[in-house]
Amino acid sequence: MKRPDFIELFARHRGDIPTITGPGLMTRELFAVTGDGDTVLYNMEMPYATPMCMGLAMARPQQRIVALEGDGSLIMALGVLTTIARYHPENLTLIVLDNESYSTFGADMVSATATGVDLAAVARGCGIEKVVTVTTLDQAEQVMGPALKEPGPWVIVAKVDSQSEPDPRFVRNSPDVTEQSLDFSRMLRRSNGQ
Amino acid sequence: MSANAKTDSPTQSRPATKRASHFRYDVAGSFVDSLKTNGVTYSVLLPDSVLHPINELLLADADVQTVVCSREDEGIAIAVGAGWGGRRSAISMEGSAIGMSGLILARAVIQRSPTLIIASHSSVLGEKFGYHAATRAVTQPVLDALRIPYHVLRDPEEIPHVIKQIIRTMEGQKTPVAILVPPFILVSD
Repeated sequence: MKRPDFIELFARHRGDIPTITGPGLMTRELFAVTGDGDTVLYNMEMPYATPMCMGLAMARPQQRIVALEGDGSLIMALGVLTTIARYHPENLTLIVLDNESYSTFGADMVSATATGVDLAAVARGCGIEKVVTVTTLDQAEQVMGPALKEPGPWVIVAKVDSQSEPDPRFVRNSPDVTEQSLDFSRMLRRSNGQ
Repeated sequence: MSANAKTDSPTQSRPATKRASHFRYDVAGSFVDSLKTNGVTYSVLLPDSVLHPINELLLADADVQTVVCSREDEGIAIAVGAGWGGRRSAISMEGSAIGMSGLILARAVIQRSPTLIIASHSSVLGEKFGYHAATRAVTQPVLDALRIPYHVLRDPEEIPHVIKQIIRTMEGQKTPVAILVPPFILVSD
């Protein structure tokens, strides 16, 4: 599965769901698809997209919150899976794009998932029950709707190609972090938890 | 979820555990009351030998949603996220949290996220154990480097005033602010 195709699929289902992404090429591709809106906060430092989304989800139990991470980011913060399992925020969806590499630096820079670490199994082992691994766009299409609407917490591990070359839709984004964060914060205040 | 799955509820109070006599629960009570008076409704903690009575009271208080995190930098990110969700949040951890959390604290500063950090085991007077040496060495220097305002608590009587002013500072300046708690504040000799 091509990462940009998965990103497009996710963006189509996402609507305006507040989303925080980790760093990497997926962030640039989501920016290329979604644009400079205020409902996505791009490029959160590794490994803080997921715990930040967890706090947000707990504070906003009526609102779906999505964290978009790479496998490298999540490996850096596996402990948060135990915290998610412990407090079970039903409105949190964690999507992990697992390309088995730190692909910003080339496909040869493999991550631990290339050597057999199964992030879905780790999530299940922590006690999270709604964990799905998808390897094709058809599988992703089937699971994305429920994972963004039905009670979770959800963890989707999307196995994508280790694609480090720029995609044709690629736009290098470099929004100001403070400005973007304040925009995201204002959007959350306006949405008032709905 | 399956019938045998266990989840923790941060929205319900739970019975306090057996209280150790060397802790000053009256002071801890004043601390938690001041947090609540000043609008703190969400807290994150990792157990700590000095802050234990505060943590115990937070976990037992139904008015404050309290999460026990797996590591301190994760906890700060959780608290920052809760702040974005409209909750006034506090983090209670030992000073090693500050050392572990330079990056997420920098992020909180840059994105202007008000968050109250309660930390023990800094280089203030009264720390006596060698095994806290690295923790002591890291707390204030990281706060100084990131220009995060902080106050060293010196007298239990000042707790209501200090917490009020800390909340005013963090909300007014949109920044994390730390309160450093020496052992003698919460632990009897």
